[in-house]
Amino acid sequence: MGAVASSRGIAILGFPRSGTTLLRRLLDAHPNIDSPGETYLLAGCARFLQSQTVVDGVEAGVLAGVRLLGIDPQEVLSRLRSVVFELRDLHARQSGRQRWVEKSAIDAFYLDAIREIFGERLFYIGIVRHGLDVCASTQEWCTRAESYPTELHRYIVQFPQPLVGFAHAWVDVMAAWERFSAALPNDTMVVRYEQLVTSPEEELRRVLEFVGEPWEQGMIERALESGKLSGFGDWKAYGLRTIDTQSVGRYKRLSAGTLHQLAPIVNPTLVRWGYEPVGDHDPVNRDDPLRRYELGLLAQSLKVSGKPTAGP
Amino acid sequence: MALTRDVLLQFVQEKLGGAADVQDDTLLFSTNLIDSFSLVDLILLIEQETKTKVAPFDVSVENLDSIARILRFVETRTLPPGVPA
Repeated sequence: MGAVASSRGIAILGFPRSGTTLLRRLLDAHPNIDSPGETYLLAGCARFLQSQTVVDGVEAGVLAGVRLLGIDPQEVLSRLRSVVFELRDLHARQSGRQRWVEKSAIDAFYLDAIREIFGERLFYIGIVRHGLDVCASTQEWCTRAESYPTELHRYIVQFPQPLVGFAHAWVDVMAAWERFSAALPNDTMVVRYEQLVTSPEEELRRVLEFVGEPWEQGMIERALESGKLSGFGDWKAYGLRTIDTQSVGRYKRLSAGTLHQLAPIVNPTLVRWGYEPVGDHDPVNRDDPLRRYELGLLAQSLKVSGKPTAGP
Repeated sequence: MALTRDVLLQFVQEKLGGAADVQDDTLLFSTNLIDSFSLVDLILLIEQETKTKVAPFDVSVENLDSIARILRFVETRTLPPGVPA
């Protein structure tokens, strides 16, 4: 279905802090495209379909429930699509635009369900960013928000160190995207965050060609000048007045000990996506926790008194 | 790996995330440029590279508060009797 003129909707999918808001904002500067803030419509549909397998493999959920009523589950999917399409068409018309972009940060956690519900009826733009830059940025984001989105909290409760949880979440989302794009090869494209901030016009032209829209001169400048706020989104991307590469490689500011922990989690996925594996160059041997504890006491007493107390 | 100036400089700069221009005489710990956790890592690094154990009385700002002091400490230190290598 590729690059043909179409009024098909467009979904931007990517792990939180991967540049999804930046791309959404850029596309909103196109006169044909209505690309507002986050509506949670796609994730909302996916959550509606969530089910639970209970005793003896019985599925408890909407699709199983309506099937018992003799209603084809496809009817449920069709009506869910209609809700989304009608609401977004309505807003696009009100905005004087012909088509729309749907983007919410948590959609990436529901890729299997989004594929089941919307399939080939949308264009999907997957944004990929270096996993550890994503993790470092997500940590900052959650600190600012003073909370974890439910989809990330599931990982936080499994892994006491948030960055480790984020790394596992990123790996899982990337695997889900790989399944998603393999199932819908003609309806998906990938934008790399690093390329988007390095060559925004080139990447934006590629995106527009994919969704069948012409390039609009000055749209990047208009996007960055616009102070339009609509719905939730990324506070950093809203504040951007220029696009630069200063956040590329931010993970290098993580401690060597943290990188030592995260490297084995993310490296296979990084390599699969063409990134350099993260070097595990932690110079400190951490195999002796008792010695670390002893030295920690000495360091603390030095901090308090300027002199270490008699230690072990 | 020997405990050279370059190794120490890289270690400290990684701890700081490249946020400060560190010179040989930059005070690291007493100025809170690096924290207690990093000091522990620093001592472990010294122990690994010199294959000796840093004694409690050697954990001092006089020995560890700058790259120059650390290098001097590593060069001149001798293990007191009873401290295992």
